[in-house]
Formats: sequence, structure tokens, C-alpha cells
Amino acid sequence: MTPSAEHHPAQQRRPWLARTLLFAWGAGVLVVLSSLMTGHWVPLPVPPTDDAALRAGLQRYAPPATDGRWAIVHVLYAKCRCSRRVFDYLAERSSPDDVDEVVLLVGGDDADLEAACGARAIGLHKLTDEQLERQLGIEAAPLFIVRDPLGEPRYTGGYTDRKQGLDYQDLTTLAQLREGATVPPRPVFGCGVSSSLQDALDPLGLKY
Amino acid sequence: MSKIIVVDDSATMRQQVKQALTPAGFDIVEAVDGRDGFNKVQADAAIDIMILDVNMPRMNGIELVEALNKEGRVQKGLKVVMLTTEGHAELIQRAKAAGAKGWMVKPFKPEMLLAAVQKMAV
Amino acid sequence: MTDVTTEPTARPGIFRRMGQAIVLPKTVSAFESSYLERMNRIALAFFYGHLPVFLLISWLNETDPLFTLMLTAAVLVIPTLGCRAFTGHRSKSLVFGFTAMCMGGILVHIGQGPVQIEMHFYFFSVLAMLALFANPMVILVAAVTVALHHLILWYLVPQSVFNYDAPIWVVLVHAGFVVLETFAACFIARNFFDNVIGLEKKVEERTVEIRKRNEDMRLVLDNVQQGLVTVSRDGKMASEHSKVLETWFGAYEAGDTFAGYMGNHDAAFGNWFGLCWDSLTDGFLPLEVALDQLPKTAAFDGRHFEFSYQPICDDAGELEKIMVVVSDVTSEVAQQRAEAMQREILSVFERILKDRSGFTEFFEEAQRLVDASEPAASHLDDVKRFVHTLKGNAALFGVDSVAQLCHEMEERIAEDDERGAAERYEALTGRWQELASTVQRMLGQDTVDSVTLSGDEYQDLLRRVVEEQPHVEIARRLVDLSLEPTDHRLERFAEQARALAERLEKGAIDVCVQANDVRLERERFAPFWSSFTHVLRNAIDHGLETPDDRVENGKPDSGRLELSSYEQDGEVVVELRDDGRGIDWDGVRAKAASLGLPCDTQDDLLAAMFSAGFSTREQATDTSGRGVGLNAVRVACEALGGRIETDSEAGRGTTFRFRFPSDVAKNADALSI
Repeated sequence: MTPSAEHHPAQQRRPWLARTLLFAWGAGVLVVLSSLMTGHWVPLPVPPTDDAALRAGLQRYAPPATDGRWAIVHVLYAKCRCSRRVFDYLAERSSPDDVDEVVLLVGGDDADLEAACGARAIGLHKLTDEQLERQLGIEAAPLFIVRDPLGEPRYTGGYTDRKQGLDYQDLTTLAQLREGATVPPRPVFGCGVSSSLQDALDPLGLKY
Repeated sequence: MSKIIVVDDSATMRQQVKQALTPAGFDIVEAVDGRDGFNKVQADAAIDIMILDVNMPRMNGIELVEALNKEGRVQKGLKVVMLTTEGHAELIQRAKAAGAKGWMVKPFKPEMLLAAVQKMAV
Repeated sequence: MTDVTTEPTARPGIFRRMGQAIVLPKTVSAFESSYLERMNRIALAFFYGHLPVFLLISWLNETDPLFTLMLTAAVLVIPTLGCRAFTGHRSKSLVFGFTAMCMGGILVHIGQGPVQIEMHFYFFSVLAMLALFANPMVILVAAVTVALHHLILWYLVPQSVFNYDAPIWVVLVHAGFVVLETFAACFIARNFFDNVIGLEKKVEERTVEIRKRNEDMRLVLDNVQQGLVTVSRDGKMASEHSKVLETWFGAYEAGDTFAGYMGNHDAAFGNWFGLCWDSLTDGFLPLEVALDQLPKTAAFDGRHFEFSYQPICDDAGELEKIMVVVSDVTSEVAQQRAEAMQREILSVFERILKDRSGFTEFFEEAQRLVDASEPAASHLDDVKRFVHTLKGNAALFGVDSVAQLCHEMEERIAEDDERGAAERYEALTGRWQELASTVQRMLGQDTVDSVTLSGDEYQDLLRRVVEEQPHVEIARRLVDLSLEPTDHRLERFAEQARALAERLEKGAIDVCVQANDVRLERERFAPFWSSFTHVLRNAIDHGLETPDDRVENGKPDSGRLELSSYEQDGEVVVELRDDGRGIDWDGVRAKAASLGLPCDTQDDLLAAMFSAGFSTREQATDTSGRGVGLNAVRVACEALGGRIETDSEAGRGTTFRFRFPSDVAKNADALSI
């Protein structure tokens, strides 16, 4: 498979052609790779905890706030690998008894997830990205929201401290909030969901 | 200190050898020709260095060394130095074949003779 | 790493030096070319190998393998195209720098997930690998690519969209590390180039330098007019030696010993040198003694050479080799000889000025002696006598070259070397001819036959004629004047005696002359006078002691000679008295006995002393000891009808008296006009 370094007579006569081609191609590749990188480097937006749209959306999708039960709302994007990792994590772990959990699945179906949610009595809602943006003000995933028994969102943010770490902090965050501590929102490591965000992140349309 | 015998028919030569070596404390015995030298060496086992001329009457230098060689004196440690004039290569070769280990050219410089003897006496 | 610069120029600025370090020198050596070709091929294979690996990773990591395949293929186009687009190996290497960074970019993308950060280590590993191209430019291309990548990123990300600050500091940290590694990798690459790739060039540079130095050395050795050669301990000559040696002594073959080499030219010398060398290496004699015995001069076919030796010892002080320096001193020797000749001529000239008649007489007699000394013409004993006399006379008159030749001839005769004697005779006559022609010119027509008058003597004669004194009286006076006063002779002898005493280290002796107006016939007594010198010489050489000895024996430190002539009882006597140690009668007796001569009475001993071949000296010196001198005197004396009287007292001195009948002396014939 290794090509030899012999020169084709045709090219040798016109090296400038090959060189021009080379430089153009090289530049193109560089641009492409750079744009790939943006997706990784740029922090994804997270609505603040006291956002009005968020609250409204929560009331809509989250289980009603009753008898002092906390709730966790997981926002997952079907086309996002990081979200998929969160799926796997959620499927494996058990839910604590006194916590309601809901999964908002955006942008696609996932039979496994649906089955898992059904098995564990986790609510599952399917949304489109516009709905997510309009109704919740969320443009990126995966993230989770913790709602206290009074219906207030207490935490909105990513799952992990480290980018693409494996240490999902949803339950620990819950525990901390229950004790009365304040948890600063973690950055979202994942993908843009809304189309506008996607355009911004990936102008060349490589990923999205 | 080493005992040295000088065998030469020329009194002047013997005198020169004596003058060169006595100040350094060497004991010098003189012999006037080959036979005399032979007798004296045989008589005195303490003599361990012999300086001799080649051309002597009655018994010349080569014959003397050969005789002493037969008597085993050379093997017992008698060191023999021939004095000869420059250019007589065959004489020296014969002397060496007879057992003389060193040779010096006449006329010699006293300090050279002294240095040579001091090295042998060591 | 030391630079081999020829002259210290001002150091170029830091940027210039950096530029020089980064940009490789233009010439690509063959080694570099083949090396890079190989590296490029390996690099291409290496990057193609990334494809399956990336596919695997993206499949494991669920990051869209298809997309990965497309992306990797797109990047691989670059080196593939690059190898066609560029002909130079270095240029191709630059393409790989770019490619490497792109590959890293892909890896980071597909390695999303828990190990995305770790994937960045790929950049650092591959950046280090790029040093293998031995070209800092490759690394710079990679670094620039990374920089561009990040610049494009920042262009593409519009900051106004987001609420959060983009983590620029993270990127700067990255950049910092990349820059650091770039520096390091560039340094390594350049060093690799200089010392490994460039090693061949360095070696070549050094070889050229060495060759040049060798050539310079060679130039020196080829043109120096002295023979320089080192001889190692085993006697072998170094092949590096002055060319002039071969011009003098013939061709050199590798492995020749110096003794052997010289032996080709002159067997005796080679032999002798070999012997001396053996005594040097066998360690029996101390080094300086053995060195001193090596031949210092030699003459081959009329050319003279001087040899000097310089020992070279190793660190332990052991003799390693000897530097032999051979100089052609033929011209110096010839010059010295010429100078000696000049001096001789000058001294002869001086003598002629001081004592013309004396010298003239010596000259004529010497001529006769030279003619008579031909070995084939006369009996050997006579020849010996003549040569001996000539030697003595020549020495006294300062004609040392002739004296030396006579001495050499005498030696040969003593050793019964007829051919040697004949050869020396030829040399003697040769030299004599040279001298004779010069002296002849100086003397002019002067012969002994002329009579010289002093001013007073002339006036006296004139007065007699004017006073008309009887003819017989005037005739007698004239005859008188034709006879030579012994005064002159004895004075001359006195002078010679003083000179001789100095030469023999007997100090400044007193010589007393009493001529008493005795006059003798010049021509008839000439042989006697010339042999008289032997008696004089004997007296000084054997008779007088050294000043030290004299003082020890209670005598005044300077010896005393009395030369006198007088008339006594109808005889003319010439007397020589010294106050030396007297004749050693025991020695005379022993020698006479050894020669088989009668030695019982005093007369026997005297007769023995004056006989041919008698000498109590063991070794002939330049001046005496040949056993010829006294014999010569006796012969001369007896030829004139005279006789010798000897008185000697041990420790007090000796007196020789030569008595001649008066009528012979006065030559009555001349009076009977």
C-alpha cells in the first residue's frame, strides 16, 4: 500500500501544479480540523437556575412537586455521544426511592432507553430541539436539573466536573442540595442541540 | 662498593681510568696485560667489573674474556667492558661473542666511563 | 561542540545565529540524501498505518468511523501528493511535519471521551519523532501548523454568541508547551544533523585538514636540507623522513633499519651503527653513554656528514625513539681546511719575514727530505728517519699540515702497512707541491747561496777596503762573513724551544743562548742543525718535568735550557744543557735489553740510546717517541767527523755536547785563496 517516492514523468514536468494542489488541499484540511476542534473547545450554554422559561418548562414536564420529593430532570440528546453515555449510566444505576426522575429525550428515538425508563418507572418525554429551546430555554445537552420539593430549580448544569469524565455527579449534587449546600453549575460537555447553536458551533456542517 | 680491574698495557690508559673512577669511591686494581689480568681476576673473587683493552701483548682482550668465560667468571657475574678505537666493528663482535657485554670507544670521556660503571655497579 | 573556524570574526547577532541554526546549509550530502529518502518512506508508511488505528479507535469510541475514514484519507492525500510535488527530500520531510499535526487533530477529535485530553500527548510524541528528520524546519512547520490551527479556531468562534468566557488561558498553556517542545526538538534535530548526518561532512573536513597539514609537513621534509629521521627502538626508520636523505644515501624501502639503510651506502658505517645501536637497546650502558658512542661524523665519497642524535622518551622515561639529524658539512669541512691552509700560509709568511734565511733553509731541506722519503726508493729505516725529521722541522716552522701527514705516514710504516705508507706519501707530496709553489713565490729567487750582511758588517768591510788593509785580511773577513754565526741558529732554536715547551705544558721555560761568536759553514752543518731539533725536543719532552712536578721536587717552577757554542781545545762544541729529571738509565737498560742490545756499560747504554728504533716511550706522540731522533743526530754528527758527549744526573739535568774538529768547522780551504 505504501506508495513509492518515484516521480511520475507527468508530474515532474509540471511540479507547480502538484504543489498548488497540495497547498490548497492542506489549507482545506487545516480549516476542517480547526472547525472540528471548536465543537470540543467551546463551552455550551446553560440557562441559569432562575430562568423563567426553565421554570415553566419544568412545571410542564417534571412530576408535580408533592410531599417533599425532589426531582431530577435529565436532558439528553439522542445524537450526542456524551448523552448516550449518560443513558448507559442511568440505565445501570438504580434510582433513589424518594426522588422522581424524568428523562427528556431530544432529537430521536432510542428503544433501549425507552425500555429502561419504562422498567424503572422513569418518566420519558420526547421533544424536538425547538421545543426544548422554546419551552425550556435549553440549547445543549446532556445536562440535568434538580428541582426541590417546592418546585424550584436548584441546579442546572452538566454531569461531570471534568470534560467527558466518567464521574456523574447527579446524585451527589442532589445529596448536597438536600443538605442545604449550594452547588455551582458545571459546564455542559456534549453537543449543541438547537439549530442555531449548531450552526454557530459547526459552520462547516461537519458534525451536525 | 664494586671492585674494578682495569687491564691495559698502556700505563697512561690505566691512569686515566683510575683518575675517572677513584673519586667516586671505586676500588681499582690494575693489570698490565691479558695474563696478568687473568691471574688477578682468578685470585680475587670480589672483582666484579673488568675494563680491558683489546690489543695487549701475551694475551689480548678477546682471549682474556674467552678464558674467563671458560672459568665461569662471566657467568658468575663478572661484567666486562671492552675499550676499543672507533670503527673496529669485528673486534667488538668477537668480544661480545666471547661474553663482553659492553664496550666503549677510546678515547673516552671520564664522566661517561663513570656513568657506565655506576650503572653496572648498581 | 567546537567550531573549526579559521579566524575569530565578530559574533553575528542572536537572530542571525538562530536563523543559521534553523536553516540547514544548502548542500545535501549523499549520506543525508539517502537517509532522508529512507526516513520519508518510513514516515509515509507510518502515517498510512494511522488509518486502521484511527478506525479502530473511532469504532471503539463510537465516534463515527465513516467520518473518520474520510477525514484520515483526506489528510493522507497531503503526504502522498507532497511526495510527488517535491523532488527534494528535505521538502518532502516538511510535508510530513504538517501531516503529523493534522493526524493529531483527527486523533483528538475521534478520541473524544474520557481520554480526549490524553490524546493530545500524541502531538508531543510525534513532534519529538520529527527530530529524526534532522531538520529544524520540519519541526517549525509542525509548530506553525498548530499555531495556524488555533488561530483559525479563534476566527471561527464568534465570542459574542456565548455568555461564558472561552478558556483562552488553556489554549495559551498548550501553546506554551508546544513552543517549548519546538525549541527542544529543533535543537535536537539540528544537533542530529550536525553530528550524525553531518558527521560524514565533519570527518571529511577534518580529513582535508589533516591532509593539508600532512602536506605542509611533507613540504618541509622534502625541502629541508638536513636529513631528519626518527629511528624507533627496534632500529627501524620512519617512512616519514627528509627527502634529502635519499638523495644522499639512496632509495628507502619500507621496513629498513637505519643501520641497514646506511649499510647499503657504506657497509662499514652501517655495521658500526648497528653495533652502537645494539649497545643502546640492550641497556647495559647508561643511555647518555651509549648515545655518545653513536658515530658523530662520517665521510662517504668525498662528502662529509655530521650526525646528531636526540633521544625521545615516553611518559615513563623509557627510550622510545631517537631523532637522527644528518647534516652535510662537506662545505664546512672544506672551508675549515681552507682556513687552516690560509693560516698556515700566513704563518709561513710571517716566518719568512722574520727569518728569511732560516725559513729558506728549512724549505730547501724539507724539499730534499720529501724527495728522499719515497718508500719505494729508499730503505725503510732511512725513510722513517727522513720523515721523522721532516715532521719535526715542519712542526717547528708551523707547517702543520705537512707535519700531520708525516705523522700519519710514520704510523703506517710502524704498522708495516706499505700500501698505507705509500698512499700517505702521495698525500704528502701533493700537499708539499701546493705549499712549495706558494712559498716559492714568496721567497722569490732567494736561495741559500746568497750571503746576507747586516749594515754594520757592510760598513766594517767597506772601511777595511778603504783603509787598504791587506787582501788576506779582507779575504778572511769575507770568508768569515760567509760562515753562519751559530748565534742565529741557537736563537732560532731558543724560540722554537719556548714554543714547544708551551705546547707540551712545561710552562714558560728559560732559554739561555751563548754563541760566543762561533761561526760554522752553513751548508755542511745543515743536516746536523736540522737533526739537532730532535735533541732539543727530547730535552723538553722527556727531560723537563711539568711545573707541578718541579715544584714538588723543590726546583724552580720553570725549566731552564742552555744553548751554547764555543771553541775548546781545537774543537767547536755545541752544547745543550737542561735542568730536568735526567736520563732514566734503568729505563734505557730495560729497553736495550728488550731490543737485544748490549747494556752492561755506560757506553753500551749510550750507544743503545742513539741507535735506530730506540725509545723508552710506549706510545709515539706527535713530537717524539719514534726512536728516530737521536739516531738521526748521531748519524749527522758522525758524518761531520764529530762525536757526542752525554752527561746526566738524575733529578738534576742532562747535558749533550757535540764536538766537531775545528778545521772542519773553519774550512781552511776557503782561506787558501
